Amino acid sequence: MVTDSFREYLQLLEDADDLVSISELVSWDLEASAVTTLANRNDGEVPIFESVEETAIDAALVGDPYRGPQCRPWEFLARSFGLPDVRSGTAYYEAVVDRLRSPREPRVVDRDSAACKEAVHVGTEVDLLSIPWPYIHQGDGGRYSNLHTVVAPDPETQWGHWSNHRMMLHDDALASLLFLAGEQVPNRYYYEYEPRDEPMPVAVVIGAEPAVQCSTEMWIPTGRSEAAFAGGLKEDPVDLVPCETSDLFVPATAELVIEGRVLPNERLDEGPFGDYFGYMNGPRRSMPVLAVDAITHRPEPRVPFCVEGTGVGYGQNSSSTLQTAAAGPDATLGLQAAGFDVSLAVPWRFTSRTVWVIATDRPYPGYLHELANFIFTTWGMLHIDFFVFVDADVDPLNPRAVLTAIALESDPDADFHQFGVERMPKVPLNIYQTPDEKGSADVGTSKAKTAKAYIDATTDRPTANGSEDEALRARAQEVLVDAGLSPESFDLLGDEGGESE
Amino acid sequence: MSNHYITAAEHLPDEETTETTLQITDAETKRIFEARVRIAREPDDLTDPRPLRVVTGPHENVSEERYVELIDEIDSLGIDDDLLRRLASEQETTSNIVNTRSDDLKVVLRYLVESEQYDSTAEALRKIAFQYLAENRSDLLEAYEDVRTEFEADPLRRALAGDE
Amino acid sequence: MIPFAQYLQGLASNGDLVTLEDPIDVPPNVVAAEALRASGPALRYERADGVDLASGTLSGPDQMQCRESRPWSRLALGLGLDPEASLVSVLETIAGLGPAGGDAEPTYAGQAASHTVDSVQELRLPQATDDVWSSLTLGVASVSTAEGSHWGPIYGSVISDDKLRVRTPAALSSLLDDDGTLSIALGVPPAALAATYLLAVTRRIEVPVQACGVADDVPLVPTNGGLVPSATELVVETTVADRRPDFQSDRREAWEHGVSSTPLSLSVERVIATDDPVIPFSPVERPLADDLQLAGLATAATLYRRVNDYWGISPVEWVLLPAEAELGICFVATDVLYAGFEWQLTNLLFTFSSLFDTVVVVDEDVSPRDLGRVLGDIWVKAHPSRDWIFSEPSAPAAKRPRYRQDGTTGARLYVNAAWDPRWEDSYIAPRVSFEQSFPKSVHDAARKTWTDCHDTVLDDDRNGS
Repeated sequence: MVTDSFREYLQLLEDADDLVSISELVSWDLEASAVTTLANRNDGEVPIFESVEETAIDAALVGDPYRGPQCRPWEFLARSFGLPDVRSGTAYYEAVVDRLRSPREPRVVDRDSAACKEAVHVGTEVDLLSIPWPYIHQGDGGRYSNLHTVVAPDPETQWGHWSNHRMMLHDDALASLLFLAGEQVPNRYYYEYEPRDEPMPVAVVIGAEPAVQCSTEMWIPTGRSEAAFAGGLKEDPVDLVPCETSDLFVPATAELVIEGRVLPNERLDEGPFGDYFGYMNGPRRSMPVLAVDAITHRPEPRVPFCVEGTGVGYGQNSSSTLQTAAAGPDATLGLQAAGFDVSLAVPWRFTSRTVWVIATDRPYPGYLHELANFIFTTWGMLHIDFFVFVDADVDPLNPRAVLTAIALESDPDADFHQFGVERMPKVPLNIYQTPDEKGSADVGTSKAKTAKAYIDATTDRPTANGSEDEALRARAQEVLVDAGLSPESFDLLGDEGGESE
Repeated sequence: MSNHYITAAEHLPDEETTETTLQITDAETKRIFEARVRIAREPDDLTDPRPLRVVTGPHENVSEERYVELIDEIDSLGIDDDLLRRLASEQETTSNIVNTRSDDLKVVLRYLVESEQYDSTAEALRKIAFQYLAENRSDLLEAYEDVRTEFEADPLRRALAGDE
Repeated sequence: MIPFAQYLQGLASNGDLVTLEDPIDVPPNVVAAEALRASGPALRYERADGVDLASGTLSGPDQMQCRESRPWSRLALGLGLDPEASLVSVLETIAGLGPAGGDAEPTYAGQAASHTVDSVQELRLPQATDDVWSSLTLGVASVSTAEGSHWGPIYGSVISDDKLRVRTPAALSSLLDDDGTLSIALGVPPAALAATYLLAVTRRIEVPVQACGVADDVPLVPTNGGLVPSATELVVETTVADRRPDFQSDRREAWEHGVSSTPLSLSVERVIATDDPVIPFSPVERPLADDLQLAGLATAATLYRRVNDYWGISPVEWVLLPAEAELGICFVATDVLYAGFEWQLTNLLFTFSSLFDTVVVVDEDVSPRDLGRVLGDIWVKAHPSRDWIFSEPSAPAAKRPRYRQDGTTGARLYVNAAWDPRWEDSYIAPRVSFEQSFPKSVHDAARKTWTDCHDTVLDDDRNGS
């Protein structure tokens, strides 16, 4: 059963006891985030806070709904796309890549049948602070929405471009958006709309269906739309509906839609915020302003949020899971489509975005250099600093195997490339540059550049041990499960092993 | 009114207790808005002091305690350009006389003229009012400046468009 | 001192050992490897035919996920510590088993292994999938000299009823005469095996066991080779048949990467065992294998002691060579005393061990139980160009990695994932964590909410809803 809305996704979790409903009163001011942090840390159920203190609209908060189990982060998304019980990460990736090969154009539905239009507030009725946005970490510059889709105009597709930019709420009709130059939507704003003194219409979509949120994480080539890939993911067109106050389209089953304009030549404070690399990052910067023209929503909207920064080290959260479960397969497909001999490209388990592991063949000398720099100059430009390349038969989703490959196959003299060369752009979203180096660049890249490096952890010599007999290994796993070990830890079990769900 | 406010050190004026415009956060609701304020180190220096946490440092995790008095909230970015345009357009065909209806003000202004500080009460009022607005409502003046420039730049377009 | 069989009972009562009964249609080596890969419990193989075996007894879960126990938790139990013991207390205990500088007082006891086994083949020792012969692993070899008994690790293949081909440290076999005698102890108290590995990696095999801390703890008994722990499950007494045989072995126990070893051909004279013997084995060269974990801990123990003795102060919090990195990377947590200290420390580590050419430096407040955080910080906290430091390519090749095994020189690398001591405090970004991102009042409220809702869920289960 494929989910078509965020609510259906939450129901799917509830049916499997993967959701815990908290009915006691919880405050949006740090408390909901703290409980979610505990849930994330303990690999527990996803919390939904039904009763939030001081909220004008009867809304619920959902803490990191996309966070999957630590041993198999893609599990909930796999379920929501109706994928078979994929025990191994490789099988999941292959299934998703297959879906992404067949995008489906979205379908426009009637305003009257769009669930996200149940309640419509425009003009003076607009009050952003009537929604219980969470204050996520002590020291953040304000309340945030950070698990959403920003829909912006795209000259090449009528469906617009979907991307995620964190949004800091200011007042009843104002918010600031972290727009980093180098990314597509900020580029259009800074280099096209703003010089023309023209506001850029956007819609911030909160609580869209999983396929939409996944495609928001993906890097889609220009000329294609995320909406079509979302349709491919769930093998069904995504339903879209026009905005009230602009020509943009938004997913019809979304919980909440904030329509507005990013104003030219206006700035508001944005940040500090605890971001994806696990640390608080400041100081505040002047960032573009979203003036809100309309808010539409479903009754009792479920507002998801991500405790950003808890997806590092052992922890998982929504953004780290989406990187592994959505960005990874997309990157794999993209690299294959670009002609590279890549079997799997995945984010590093312990810090997403900064490091990626790519299992690949090496068809010619200089191939890894080309592959690394191809990514560094395209979608990897801002956030990715490193690649680790491993052989095609090493599972990049197995961090132990990758660490072993680095330790035993990467020669400091020959296999570490571009580490000392500081020529590449870097977002100030980092903790290794000093404040001076970051400068006060208002468009988003740091004053000082950085190095972008890659490690060749492929082997130059055949493995002495030879490969192990997979049938024997599978039989051994069955023996262990029969003796009482949990099937969760094994990846070669047949269908009988799936009964644990 | 909240009990506690937060602002960043970079927003503070150099001098204490002067009135200034500040981007300020309500510590309870986390609402962020612009306001005319006065800031002081000691609460006694202010009429209605509230605690103000001033954050600083590259990650804003260092802070100092000050006190703030909220004079007025500013509707930042709340200049209604359409209203301004309409008024400016109307003004093209209306008189520019403003009557303050204040005997006291008239006496004071006439004093300034008789003591040769200004050439006329109109000039005195113009200069004093514009000075105040420049210090306190510069956003409004700038917005109006933009509207005026727009009008001056394209009289033909305006004529063709009528007064829409 | 905890004898091996008792140790297994301890693991079982902790819920950390599962017993498998015959018939099992998969070779024990394969089962052992799968259990390790899955971070499963230790295993005991009860066999109708052949000696009982145990695997994973000196290993533990991998640190790629947050887990309740550590890779060293089982060994801690075996050394007489609490399973929750810190890494450092395990390292210090291991180090204390080595040469004691004259303070050791050996004790002696009767031989627990009292009945004779007809032949080594009868034991049905495990056979790796591609091997022709069955193998013994995790053995302690004991050789006698005028100074006393000397221990070293030993492993090898059972060629026939009375022939073994083994590998043992060159330092130990050099103590043997051409027809010398050597005993192999299998199923020794964990403290004895840890001591043996320690002596090997520190190159102190020449120190007699009676002068080592292990003798304080583990009672000894004479055999035809040298003294062995009296509580040993199985002793194989042998004489040397050939001191320089010319066979190659496909597999190496982990201690051999840093220690030069020699082959020996042995003739079995006698095999004695306890009434119901159980001996450990390791699926050598499989991930997280017991010998790998033990070699890593023994090396870390000695490095920890040496760097903290070096400057008159002890800035180093801990040292770890995780099995997940196959001993090719050394992690060290330290107080960075001054800018450049990290360079000194890493060079010292390279001097003290030839295993690795890569060191990762982290701040002293990082816990060794938080390897996940370290594996994130190396990319995020260390500047790619300024904190990944490569030496000139004139350093001797490290022994553990698979590259440059021709011995040509190369470069060493250290990653400085500690905060720059020259940075002002305010530059240091606060971490996002439950502890740091919320004030105490919120901690309490959040914990209460979380535990309350779990009680509620449990109640629902009991009510059948």
